[in-house]
Amino acid sequence: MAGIVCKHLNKKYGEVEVVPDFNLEVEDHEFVVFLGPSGCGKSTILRMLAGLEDITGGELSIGGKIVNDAEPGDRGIAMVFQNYALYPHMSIKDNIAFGLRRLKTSKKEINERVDAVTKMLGLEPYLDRKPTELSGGQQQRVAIARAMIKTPDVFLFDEPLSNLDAKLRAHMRYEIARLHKELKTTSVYVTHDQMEAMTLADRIVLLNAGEIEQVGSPEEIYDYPETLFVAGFIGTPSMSFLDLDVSKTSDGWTLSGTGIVLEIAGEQFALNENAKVVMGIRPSKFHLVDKPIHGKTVTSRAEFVEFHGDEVLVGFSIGETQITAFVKAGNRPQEGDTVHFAVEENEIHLFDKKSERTLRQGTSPSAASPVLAEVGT
Amino acid sequence: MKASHIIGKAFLALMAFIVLFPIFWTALNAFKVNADILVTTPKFVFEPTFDNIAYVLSRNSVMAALTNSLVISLTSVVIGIALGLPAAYAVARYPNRWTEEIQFFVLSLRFLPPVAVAIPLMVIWLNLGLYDSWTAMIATYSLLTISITIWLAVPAFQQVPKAIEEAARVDGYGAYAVFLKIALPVAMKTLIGAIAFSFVLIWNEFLIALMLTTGKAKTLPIVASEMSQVGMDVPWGILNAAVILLSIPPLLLLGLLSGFMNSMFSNKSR
Repeated sequence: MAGIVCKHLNKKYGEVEVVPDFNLEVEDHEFVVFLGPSGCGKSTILRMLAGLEDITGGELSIGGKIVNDAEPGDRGIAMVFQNYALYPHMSIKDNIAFGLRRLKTSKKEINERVDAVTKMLGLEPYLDRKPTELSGGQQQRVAIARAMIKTPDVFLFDEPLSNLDAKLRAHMRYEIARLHKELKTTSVYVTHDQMEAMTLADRIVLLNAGEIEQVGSPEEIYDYPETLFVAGFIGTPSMSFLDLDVSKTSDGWTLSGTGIVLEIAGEQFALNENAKVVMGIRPSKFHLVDKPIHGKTVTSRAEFVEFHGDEVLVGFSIGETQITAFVKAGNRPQEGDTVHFAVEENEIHLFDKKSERTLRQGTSPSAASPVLAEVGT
Repeated sequence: MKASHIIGKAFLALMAFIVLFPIFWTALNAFKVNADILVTTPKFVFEPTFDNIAYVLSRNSVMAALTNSLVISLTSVVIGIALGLPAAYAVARYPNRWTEEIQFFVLSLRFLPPVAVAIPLMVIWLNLGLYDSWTAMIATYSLLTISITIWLAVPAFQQVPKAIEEAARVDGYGAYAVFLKIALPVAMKTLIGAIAFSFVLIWNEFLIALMLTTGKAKTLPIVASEMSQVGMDVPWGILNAAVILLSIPPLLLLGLLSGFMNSMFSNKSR
C-alpha cells in the first residue's frame, strides 16, 4: 500500500506540452478519479504513473520512492487497460499468472493465488479458455484479476469500462467499488464518464488541457465548482449560463441582463459594482411558480417540453440564451405556455466573466483542502 | 440450391481444374514412356513405367542437388528468421526518423534485377575462394530471406496491439521478453506465411543459383533444367518426373504450415 506524490510533473512531445505542471498527492487507500474531456491529458498522466510514458520533468514518487526512471514492473503498480489487453495466445489462467511467473513464484503459490482471485471475480469456469472466447465483461474481469494477483501498491485504471455496454458498465462499476472496499488498494482511475467518477471516487481530479481545474470530493465538485469549466462539465444536462451585470443596491446586489433581474443579498459572493459575471444554474434548481415575484423569478415561454419519466425538461430562453429546467412531470407546462421560475440565491453559481473562477467566498469546504492550495499556482 | 450458388460452385470448380490439371498432367506424364507422351491424342490410359522416376533418382547429381537445395534453403530461411524478425520488430515498435528509409532500403534490394546482384556477388565469392559453395549460396540467399522476412513481418508486428505489450511491461517483463513471449507468438500466424513465402522463393530461385554455382553447390532447379539439354530428343518423361520430385518438398512444407495455421485458427474460435 502506498501513496503517490506528483511534483511539477511535466510532459512534452517534442515541442508540444501536453501536461505543463501537474501536482497531486494521492493518499494511501484513496480512490482518485481523473476526469476530463478527451485529450485533456488524463491518460497521459496515468501512463506516466505507470511508467509507459517518459516523464519530461518533475518528480514522481510512489510509496515514498522516487520512480521517475523505474521500469513499469518495478513501480509496485498494476494496470487495467481500456481494451483489456489480455494476451490472446494464452489461456485465462496463464494471463492471470503471467506476472507471477516472472517473479519465479512457486507453482503451488501461483495456483493458490490464481484460485483466490478467480473465486473473488467469479472466473473459475473460464480458466482454460482463451480470451477471445469470453465476453467483454468477462475479459475485463480477467484484466482486473491479472492486476489484483500481483497485490500491487497501486491500481491504475485507464478507462476500463468504456468498451462495455451501458448495463454491463453499471455492473462492473459496482464490482470495482466493491473490490476497492475489500482490498483498499490505492487506486487511480481515468475516465471521461462523470457518472463513473461520481460513484467511484473518494476524490475527483478534474482536468482540462493538461491542467487541474479542481480537486475535490464528488459532492464538492458538484455543489461548489470552482471554475466555469467544472460547472459546465459536471452534471447532465449541463448547467445553464447567463452573462449578467452586477450593481449595488441598498440591501444587497442586483444581477441584471436581457430579460432578467435578480436581487440577492450576495454575502457569499465577492461582488463588485459594475462587475461582469456569469451565473450558472443547474436545471433542477429552477422552481416552477404560479406568479412572478420581482427580483426573485425569471419569466419566459416554454419552447420545448421533453419527457424524461418522473420529470420533464423544459427549454426556454432568457434574452438570447437557451436555458433548461427540470419540472415534475405531473405539473408540467405545455409548449408555448408562459412559465415563471423562482431562483434561490444559495443555488446559483457566480463566476467572474474574465477569470472564469468562482466568486463564492469561504463557504466551499474544499477550500481548506491542502491539495487545492497548489491548484492553479 | 439457388442458381447463383450453382454458378458460383461451377466457377470455383473451373478455376480449381485450371490450377490442378497441369499438375495432374505432369504427374501422369512422369509415368509414361516417351512414345506415350508424344502422341496427337492425349492418353489417359497407358502402361505406367517407373523408369523416369528411377532415372532421376539414380542420378547422383539429383540427389546431391536435393541435399544442396534443402541445406541452402532451410539454412537461409532460418537465418532470415533469426535476423529478420528482430529487425522487423524494431522497425515496427521503435519507429524513428530512419525507419521509413530502412524499410525502403530493404524493399529496394528486391527492385534490382537478380543479374545486377548476381554478377558482383560472383566476383566477390570468386575472390574469396568461396564460389560454388554452400557458404556463398547461404550468405547470398540470406540477403533475400532477411529482406523478405523484414518486409512481411513489419506489418505483422504492427498489428499486435500495443496495449498487450504494455500490459506485459507492467507485468514486469523487459523489451526482449516482451518480444519473445508476447509479440512473436501473437504475430506468429502472419509470420508463418512470411516464412513459408521466403522458403518457396528460395527453393525456386534459379537465376542467382545459375550464376553462383557450377558444380558441387548446384541446386535442384539448375539440375532439373539441365535435363532438358541432353540434345534434340527431349526426354519429356524424365523432365516431368524431375518437376514432380522438385515440387514435393515445398508442397510438404506448405501442407505442414497450413496444418499448423489451421490449428492456430481453430483454437481461437469456439
